[in-house]
Amino acid sequence: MRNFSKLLSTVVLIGFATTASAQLVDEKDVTITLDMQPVLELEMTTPNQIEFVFDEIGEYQAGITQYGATILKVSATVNWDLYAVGRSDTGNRFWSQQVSYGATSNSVADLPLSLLELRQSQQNNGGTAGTSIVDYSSAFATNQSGASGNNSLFVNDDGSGTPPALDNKYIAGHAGTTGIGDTMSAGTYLNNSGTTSDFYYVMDYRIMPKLPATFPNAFEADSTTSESLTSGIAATGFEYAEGGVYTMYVQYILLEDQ
Amino acid sequence: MLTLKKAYYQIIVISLLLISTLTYSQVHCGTVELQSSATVDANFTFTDFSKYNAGITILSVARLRVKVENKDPIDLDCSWKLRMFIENNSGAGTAADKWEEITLYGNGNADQPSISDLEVRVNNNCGTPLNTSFRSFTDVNDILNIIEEMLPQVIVPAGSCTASGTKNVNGPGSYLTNYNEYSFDVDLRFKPGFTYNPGVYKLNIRFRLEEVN
Repeated sequence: MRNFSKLLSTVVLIGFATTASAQLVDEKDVTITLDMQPVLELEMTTPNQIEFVFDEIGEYQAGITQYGATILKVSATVNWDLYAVGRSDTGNRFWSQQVSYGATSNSVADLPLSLLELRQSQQNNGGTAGTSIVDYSSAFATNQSGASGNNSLFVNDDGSGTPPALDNKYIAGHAGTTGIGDTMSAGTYLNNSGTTSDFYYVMDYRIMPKLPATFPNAFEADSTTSESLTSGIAATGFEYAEGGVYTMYVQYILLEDQ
Repeated sequence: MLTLKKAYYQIIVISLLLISTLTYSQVHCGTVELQSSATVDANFTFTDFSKYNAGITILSVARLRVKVENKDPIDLDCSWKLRMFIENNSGAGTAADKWEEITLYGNGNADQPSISDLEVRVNNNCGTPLNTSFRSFTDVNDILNIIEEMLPQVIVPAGSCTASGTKNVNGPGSYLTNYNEYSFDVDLRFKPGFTYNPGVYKLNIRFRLEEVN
């Protein structure tokens, strides 16, 4: 009887092991790969050449302003900064003189790139980390109001496109990657309130030589150190701009900031 | 003493017999089989702004075909359920609600994409799944039912689809004879927005066809 019970329990155990398999199951997989590539798009509407022709006294005194000459539209999938930097073929911080109308002992052919003034339509809402003038949103200073570096174009001393520092101007965002006061959030001008958004900037340009042509609104990148022709950057004594044709270019750079 | 030992053995034998019987009763179907094209890879590649803005939808990324055969002789309790699980290689340290990171394109200061941003829709021509809209997993512990196990058990036989609005067909049958009820299209949709770290990420959706106890 005892042996029979053992035998029976063994048989049952084997049967249990055989039939205790879980319910029938089958599986299939779908593997998903997500490839999110950073996208930075800067659309620019602008003429190929913006000309400033000074051939009347009034133009020297009041300057020439090109309103809305450039429109910048930003689309970015990552946080971003936007800045403008003045550059020329000379490889330094001066305009490139193409034609001279006559040099004199007091004329200066090295005109600082920062004599070009910019004004942006929207203030920089991501630049509170800046320690000086953070953008180009100020109104252009009038002839009578004295020299102002509020709108002078940012230029690197070596003429490169290196991003501005904390005491320099950006159009949007600022130096650093802390994410606090130095960046613009991702988005697009397409669905952000059109012309009043942080993704849409209308740029005005102005050059005001005054008489004699010393460009008092030319300032270094810190917006406080004058670069006007009377500041002693060239010959000693009384200097003024040498008549001629000069060229330079403004480079707008949109970069990831995260 | 011997009598007690004998009784002990008999109790064990009876218990095992009972367990064996109960356990055996779990298997009601002959076979369950889930077919699809070879392992499916779905690629969401975001390369321009409009894709980020509008998202990407991939329709019929996979077509699942179900074949459940009854036993011989027929067991009236044979039915099945179909469910989805999500996996993100959490053993490697991936947070439960995030995609597995393969590589980053930036410094990674922003957020990793969330599992809940992936939407899945499973449907067939008869609309037998109880939920035929886009749905999301909250995290890797979430399970989404396609064909559910009803409590108490209700077996909806193959061919019921002809009646309008019949849901949850879960009786024995096959895509070969009742294609509209036993095949399922899987659609995926992902709209990342602009808050995540650019990079390459992975997830795996596991579809499990299971006999109902």
